[in-house]
Amino acid sequence: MVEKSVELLLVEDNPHDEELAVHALKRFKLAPNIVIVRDGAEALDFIFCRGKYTNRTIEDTPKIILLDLKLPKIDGLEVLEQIKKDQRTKKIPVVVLTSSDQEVDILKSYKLGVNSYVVKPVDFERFSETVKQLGLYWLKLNRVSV
Amino acid sequence: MDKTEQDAAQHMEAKTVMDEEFIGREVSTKAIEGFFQESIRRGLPQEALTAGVDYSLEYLLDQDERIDWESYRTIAKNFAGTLDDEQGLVDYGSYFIQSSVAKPFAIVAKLLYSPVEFYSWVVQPKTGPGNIFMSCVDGKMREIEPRHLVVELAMHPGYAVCREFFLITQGIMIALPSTLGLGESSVQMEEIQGGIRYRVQVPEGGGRLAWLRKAITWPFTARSAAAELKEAHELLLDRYQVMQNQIEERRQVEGALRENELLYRALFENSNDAVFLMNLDQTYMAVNQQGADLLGYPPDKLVGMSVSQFIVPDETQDFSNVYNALMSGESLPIYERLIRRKDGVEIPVEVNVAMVRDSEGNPAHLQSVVRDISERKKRDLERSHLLAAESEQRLQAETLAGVTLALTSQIDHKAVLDEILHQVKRIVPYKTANIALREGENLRIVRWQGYDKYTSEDLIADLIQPYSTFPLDEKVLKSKKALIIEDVLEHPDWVQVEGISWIRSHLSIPLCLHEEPLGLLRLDGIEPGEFSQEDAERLNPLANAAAVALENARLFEQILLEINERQRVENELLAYTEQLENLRQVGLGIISELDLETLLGSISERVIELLKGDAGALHLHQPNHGLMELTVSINNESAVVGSKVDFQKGIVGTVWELGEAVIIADYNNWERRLPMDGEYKFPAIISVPIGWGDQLLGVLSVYSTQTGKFSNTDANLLTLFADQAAIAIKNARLHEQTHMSAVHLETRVLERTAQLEETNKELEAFAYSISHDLRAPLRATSGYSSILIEDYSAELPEEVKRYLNLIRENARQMDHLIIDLLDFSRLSRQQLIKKPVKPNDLIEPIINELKPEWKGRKVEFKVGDLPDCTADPVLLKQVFTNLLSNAVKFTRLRDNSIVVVDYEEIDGKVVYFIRDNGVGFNMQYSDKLFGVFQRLHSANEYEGTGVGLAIVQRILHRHGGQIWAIAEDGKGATFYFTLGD
Repeated sequence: MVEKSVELLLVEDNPHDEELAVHALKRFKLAPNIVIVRDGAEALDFIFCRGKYTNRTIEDTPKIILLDLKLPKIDGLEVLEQIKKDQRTKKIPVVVLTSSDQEVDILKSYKLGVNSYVVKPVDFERFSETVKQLGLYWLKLNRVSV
Repeated sequence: MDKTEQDAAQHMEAKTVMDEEFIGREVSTKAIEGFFQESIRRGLPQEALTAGVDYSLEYLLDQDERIDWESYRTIAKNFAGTLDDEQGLVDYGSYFIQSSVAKPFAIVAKLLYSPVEFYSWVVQPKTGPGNIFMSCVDGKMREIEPRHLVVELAMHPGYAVCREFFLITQGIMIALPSTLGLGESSVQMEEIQGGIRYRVQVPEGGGRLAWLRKAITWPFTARSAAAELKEAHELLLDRYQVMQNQIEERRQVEGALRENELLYRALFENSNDAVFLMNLDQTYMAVNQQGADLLGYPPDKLVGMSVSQFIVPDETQDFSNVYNALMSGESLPIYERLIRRKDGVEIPVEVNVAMVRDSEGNPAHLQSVVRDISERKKRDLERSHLLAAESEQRLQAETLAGVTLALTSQIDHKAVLDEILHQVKRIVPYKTANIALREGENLRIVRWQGYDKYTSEDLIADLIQPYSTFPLDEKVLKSKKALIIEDVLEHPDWVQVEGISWIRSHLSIPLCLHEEPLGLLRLDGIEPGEFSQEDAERLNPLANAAAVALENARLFEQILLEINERQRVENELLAYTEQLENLRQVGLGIISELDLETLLGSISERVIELLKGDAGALHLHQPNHGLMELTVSINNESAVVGSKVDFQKGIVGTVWELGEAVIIADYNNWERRLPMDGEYKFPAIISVPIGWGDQLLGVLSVYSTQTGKFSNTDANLLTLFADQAAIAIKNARLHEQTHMSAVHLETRVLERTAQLEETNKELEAFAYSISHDLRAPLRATSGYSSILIEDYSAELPEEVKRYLNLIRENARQMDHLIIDLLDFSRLSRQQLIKKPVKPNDLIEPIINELKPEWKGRKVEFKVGDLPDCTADPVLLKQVFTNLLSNAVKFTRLRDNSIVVVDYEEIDGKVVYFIRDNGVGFNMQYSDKLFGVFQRLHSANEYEGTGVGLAIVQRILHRHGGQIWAIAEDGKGATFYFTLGD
């Protein structure tokens, strides 16, 4: 069976945030194929085809990764670093989507090569608008070099 | 550089040196008063102190508010006598002129104890030339009036000049400084505008004490010595004059005798002599009356009588010889012969016989002129006696003159005595002689001569003879008359002395000065009757001269002794001065030591050096156990450092009890010696308390192996040293305490810093957690409410939709609160980056950013030209933003909102302010204005979290600034703030 290629990888441990994000994406019909992982370790397993994702091929990269920073097991910055360090994965656009507006997090993320840093608004209208913009930009407008 | 500038420069130089000397010193009446009390407590008379105290009037004037003028005046009056109230000056001039001789000694006392080490004097003539008045004494040189005399002193450091120096400055005016022992070369004179400046260089080394002492003692010693010598000399001169007179008298007697002789000769030649004419057959041819009278026959009876019957048998041959000679034509000189008178008495005659010849020249008869010379013979005899006496007298006078001369040129006691014995021998020959001088109820034989020929001199040398054993000596002394013993064996009171029993005759003459017998001159002979009354009389003048010479010699020896004594005192003073200088050096050495342990060791070592002791100990009082503890021990193996001493016993206890120095000549024989103590290796001990009164710190001791080593002078030195040591110990203890506190403080700071860092980390984690975890549920709340409204809009009643909107609104409000709170907490941790800022550059953009907030109404901003400042531009912008935002917000209800941004200068500081004409507030709540989450208006009227002003205040506080507000309910508010320095 040939699986459809993954369009968006959402790394999010909070099920409510996950649900709201998926809700927003679906509402604007932006990401038909979303994979959700709950912690940093699983995210790395998925990306580097390890653990329960060994049958995946590493070349089958997601079009975008939405990454929370505060994650169980391995935190978001570590995940970001691993992705951007590896030649095979470093071109995957990674958007940090987090509640933290701490400057230190923003600085570290950009240092590690994040493509965008977005603070989750508390207000759902604005949250859903933000997700929409992200989806539009990264999935529809952006072209990744091969 | 012109002359005035040069003067000023030299002035400055002198001042700098003096200022250095004065660093750390305070010269005030209070300090001196304290010194007085302390000194009087130690037994110094107050007059001695007040006589030697100097005040720095200039200094006192400068320090006016700190001066107790009443006490200053009282003390000043005590020693100055008069006080010029009008000018506040003390008239020292008259004081010096009238001061008594005794004063300088008081000054010496002052020198030794003065707390003020350095003075200089400014002297100014007050009413005209010749009148000198002194105005002040301090380290500063000041020109007071155009016509004045400035005296500058170049000093050896550490030595003071006090008021007797003023005598020297007077000396410059009136006499020469050299009269006070100061060389002229050490005084330099320089003419300056309106006056003369003298620089007096006080000699180095011995310091001012040395020359002061010289000035005091030299004239005294020399004057008294000179006076005594002069008196003795005059006395001798008188005696000499008396002897000269005696010699003159003798000469006159001699002259008279010579005249008599001539007279006799003339009488022989010119009187009617006996004349005999004789025949050639030797019978009388003719005889004159005188001849007849001479022979005892009538003249006529004699004619024809044979000459031979008048010739004494012995001269018969002589007569025939004369006859033959005359017969043969010889002429004969006048000769003497004896004539036997008729009654058989033989009469001496002088015969002038000649041959009378006839005209043919043949012998005719003999003519003889015969003079009775029995009278003359008698006189001749007398004369020869007189001549002998005279020559003796002359010898005596010459001897006396020789003695006087010898004695006045001999002032050595022994030489005088030897000279006396020598001269006596010329006048009265003796076998042995001695001089014995009075010593209480004894006579001591001090010089002797001749005994070595008869017996050993040891028997005589320095023999002491009590009056009780030798009553004859006492008798002579009391009667002041010579004693002659013809034969000692026959004298009942003669006491035989073994070894000199060969003495048979004795002459003893008292040596009297002004009727006061000094001793005896005693002559001995080996035969009875060797001395006569005449001998005694002859020796009398000599004895008197000898007494004077003896006295002279004694005085001279006394003067020598006195001079030696003065020299000794002088040397002692010099040594003491040197010790004081050592003490000063040692004091300087210890006073700068701050490490207590090193200091205590140093004190003990140096004090041993100072007093030239062999060992030392330092006991310190330990308040925690109330005992004295041996803290330092030097060179004493038997002492155990750390051992405790009950301070009611032993040396330490005695010192502690008396509170003053204790000198122990020999501890092994000391009455308060502790019974359990063994033989002390260092029996001489000097101990002194360190500190005084309630502040006794301990006891300092120096030991010596040499008993009786330490003197009162040592005690004085040690006391002075201990005072310095006390200060040094207190200093070091304070330093130690300070040091300990500093270390403690540093530890505390480190601990607190670590704590703060920990807290900061926790806070950061907390803030992180808030921003992540606290906002997620809010987002969920807001999100699900929104989804409900959007996705189920059709199914939900309006009321439910409103509730859902309220839920969403509250979630957003809480998010604002969280964001503000995070901002606020971040402010404390964020680093300030200060730069020069132009506030006007910040305000324009803020006003633009705030525009949405006053949408639909009119707000007038009046922004003044604000001064530049130094601040963190980002944070300062936050301040203006928050304040302007508030101003816009609270003027919402005004038709014509006016916001003023400007500044004022208050006490030279820039105070920015933002004034609005909004709702204002009641000043009674102004204390709540800047608290976190504090609001003075309801959220319904004016939205906001209540954190904005708290943020503003925190920013300003972090800049070192302040914020405050003035407002009135309904009438607008003004917020003032400063940015610190």
